[in-house]
Order: sequence, then C-alpha cells, then structure tokens
Amino acid sequence: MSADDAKREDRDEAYEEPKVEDLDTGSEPAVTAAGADSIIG
Amino acid sequence: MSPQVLTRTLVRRVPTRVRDRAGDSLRLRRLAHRLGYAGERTREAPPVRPVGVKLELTALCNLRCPFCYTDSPRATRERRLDLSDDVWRGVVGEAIELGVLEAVVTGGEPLLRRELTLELVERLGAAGVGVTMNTNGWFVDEDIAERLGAVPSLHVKVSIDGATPELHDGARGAIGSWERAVRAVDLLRRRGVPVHLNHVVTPANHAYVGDLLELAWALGVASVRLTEAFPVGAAARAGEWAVDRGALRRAAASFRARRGEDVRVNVVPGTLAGLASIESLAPAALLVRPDGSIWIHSVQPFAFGRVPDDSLAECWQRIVRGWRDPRIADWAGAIRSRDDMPRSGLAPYRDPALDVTSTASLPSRGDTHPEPPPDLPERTQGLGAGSPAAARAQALELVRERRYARAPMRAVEEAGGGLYVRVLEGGRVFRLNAQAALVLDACTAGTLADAGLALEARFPGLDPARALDDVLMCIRMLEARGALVPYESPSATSSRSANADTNAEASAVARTASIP
Repeated sequence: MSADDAKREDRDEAYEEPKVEDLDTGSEPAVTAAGADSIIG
Repeated sequence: MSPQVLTRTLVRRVPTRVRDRAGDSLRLRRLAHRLGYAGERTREAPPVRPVGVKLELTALCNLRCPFCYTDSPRATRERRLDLSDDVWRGVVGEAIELGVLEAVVTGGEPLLRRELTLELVERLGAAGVGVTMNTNGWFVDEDIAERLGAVPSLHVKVSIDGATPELHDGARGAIGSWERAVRAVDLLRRRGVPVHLNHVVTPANHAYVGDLLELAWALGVASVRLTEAFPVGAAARAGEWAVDRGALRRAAASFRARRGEDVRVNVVPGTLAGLASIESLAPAALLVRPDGSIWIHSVQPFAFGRVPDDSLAECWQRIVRGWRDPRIADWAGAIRSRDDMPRSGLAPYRDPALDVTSTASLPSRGDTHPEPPPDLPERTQGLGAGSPAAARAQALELVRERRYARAPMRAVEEAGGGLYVRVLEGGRVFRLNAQAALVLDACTAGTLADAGLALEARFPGLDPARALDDVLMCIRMLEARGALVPYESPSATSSRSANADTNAEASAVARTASIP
C-alpha cells in the first residue's frame, strides 16, 4: 500500500455516511427520552 | 373452523418462496380463491357505490409497444375515435357526485389530450379524490409538471421499460422515449409529485431489472411495479412474453438488501391475479373505456353499458347485479393458463367486448376526437442493450441539479456538528449526524451536486460517486421526514419565508445549547 493509499484509507475511515435517527417516542419529550438530556438539562 | 379460515391459515403457513411459485400458476391461484382464500382483499359483495373509477381518456398513443395491453398502437393506426371532451367532463362530474375515493386517469397516452387530462385531474384532485395518472412521460414539460405539482394527492406512474435508452426505446418503438420518460420523472419529482415506475418485464429486458431498480432509486421514485406482459391486447396478437418470475423476485430481494425499503418494489401478478379472483372478489370500481363502454376492470372484456347513453350509476347497478354473470364465469373458467387467453376468442383489448346487458355484441362507435391522432414513429430495431452505467450517469446529470427548500423547523446544534431537529409541520423530531446536517445545509442553499461537493470538501479523498450516492440517500431520509421539500414544489415558497423566522430563533437556541 502506498503512502497516498494509506492516507486515503485514514480519511475514509473518518467518514461516516449521513444518518438520520428518529427520536419520536410517543408522548415522551423525544430528546430527553433518547438520553440526550445533558444537552438541555 | 370454516373452510375459508382454514384455507387462509394453510396458505399463510406455506413458505414464502413456495407460495410465490404457486402464485405463478393460474390454476393454483384459482383453486385457492375457490377455497375461500382472497388474501387480505376479501370482498363478497360490491359496495353500494363504486369506490374507484378508471378513465381511459383515449385509445391512442404516440408510442408503439408490441406488448401494449390496451393495444393502443392498433387503435392509433385505425384512428379510432374517443368520447368527446364534454362527455368526459360529464363522466367525471358524475363520478365525483357518486363519491368515488380514487380515480386512475390513463389511456393510451392521456396527455395526447393534454388540456382535457389536466382539467380532469385538477377537478378530481380539488374534489378530494385521490388521483393516479399513467403516462409514458413523452409530453410532460415544465408547464404540465407545474400544474400536476399543484394537484393535491396526485400520484403519477411513468412507464419505463428499460434501464437504458436502448432497451426502453427498442421496446417502446421510438428513439428518445427513454430520455423523455426520465426527464418527466425528474420534472415531477422537482415539484414534489410522488412518482412510481411501471416496468413491463420482457425476455429482452429481464436481465437488466437490477439496473432499472438502481435507476429508479437515483431518480427518487416511490415505487416500482414489475409486471410481465400478459397476452391481452397487442401482446395477445404475437410474441413470446413469459419471463422467469422467480428471477424477478430475486432481483427485487437483492435490491432491497442493497437499498432497504427506500423504493417499494412490487412484483405484480397483475392479470393472473385478476383472472384467478374473478369469481370470488367482488368489484369495487369500474372502468370507462375510450368509446364509453363500462367494464369492471381491464382483465374482463365485458361491457355493462355505455356512457353517455347510460349513467355511471346505472352501469354500477348492473355490475352489482351481474358481476357473477355465467358468461363471465364460463369465459374465465376456460382460461387455465396464460396461453389459453389468446385462444379464448375474447382477449381483452384485442377482441370486441361482450355486452352482458343484452345478447347483442357491442357496436363499434365513437364520438368526435378533438385532435388528430399522432403519427406512429417508425419502428426501431436492433438497438441492443446499451450501458446501464452510462444511462444512470445520464439520469444523474438531471438529478444533480435538483434543489430543495428547508421546511419550517427548530434546530439545535450538537458540538460535533450534528443537529437535533423538530419539523414544525407534523412535529417529528430527529437527530442528524454531522454529515446529514451538512447535506441539509448545503441543499438548502444549493443543488444536490453542491451537497456532494460539500461532503467532498469536508472529507478530502471521498469518492465523488459515493458522495453523490450518500447525498441521494440522505435527501430521501430528509424528504420523507418533511425536513426538505423540492424547491419547485408549491409548499416550498411558504417554507422559505417561514424559515426566515424559525431559523433565526433556532440559531439563538443552538448558541445557548452549545454552552458547556
């Protein structure tokens, strides 16, 4: 593997495909229910 | 346990693969129906009034597919006459009055009667009727897309019969028809119209179904209907149409494994299922043919009257009383396999329909046709299969330039670049990772291609093809959740102005939330 290939592989590993995670959980406030209350608490 | 319940229970226990295979047999399907199995679609009696209406606005078409189930190339050559505009207006008015829930506007090619088709689609949509329009896409331009984009609840089904221009144009008999169909899908998607593909699978294109599904995914359609040509209409005249349906199901399964459920893929038994259930599934809709004769649906070449001499209500009452007419049962019973249909002497759309309201057969009759029939294109021959990769790239050239508007939303940034979002309409809450947030931002200000470039800029070395693929996937997710709307859709203008306020507020919230 060339140095360029190795660098590219490192960069590719850093890349994660776009993701959208639904947080609707019924009547619970969604963000809190998902355990992310540290952001708003 | 009743025989019906027993049959349903037993059928459900049969492994899917075996059930699929058995479902390919008309005899086994019919046997299951006679034993009381009608899947989820049990209906022992027709409703008091029709639930749906299918309107074949014209028998004519500008293309010449050898498998055309309505045999439109022949009708076009014969310059067959359709009902007048005024009669169609009356039919649609009565259908709305009768309270139909759904209408299918089709042909031939309905957009050969451009103004009439648009008027009726708009009228049905405004009345709250769910409308599906079938088209080959040839005539869809910016103006038509604009008007269709404003029709509430409209779905458009575009016929694409090949993953490449060569396959499609070869099947449809006209150079340029693939390009026009793909452009039509793009124009409609840009306005937020849900688009579905109808794909007739033939021995010529069945090896490329996987490529067709990839094309559909790139174009952003909601579903693809895979159906083999059945020997009715033009296909009943000549040609070998059988394909390996197991291979179709495998291609669909492989696509689902690759792309998930983003595009619904239906391998449709179509005519086969219609024939098998003829005696056990009561009608719920009626079909108005271009000459005004009223059928139950496309599989059954039996007329229950004719507009404008008879009203839809009268015809429906005849259907309610006569859908089990022994002449229909005898005809259906004599067809035990697909090969029996062309030999039956009464193939739908090939032979004159039998009028079951009397002993006489239907006289041929038409009203005035407002526009001259189109000249059929010279038949194209020997185009080969072409390159699916090149065709997909061609379609992506259109898709790359699509633009979106951000729906009114509140948003809170995460420290790592992700985003919590609440879409105001509907109130859905979700979290975007940093890459999805980047796509949301880039798309709001620019094109889909810009979003790809934004990903590449953030992650140097990211393969441009993968970046575009991921943007496409991300936009599907954001669109499905109402976070992005096509820039040229009617709702986009209000979204853009409403966003000025909500985004300003969201930024303030985000700044507050970022304080550790």
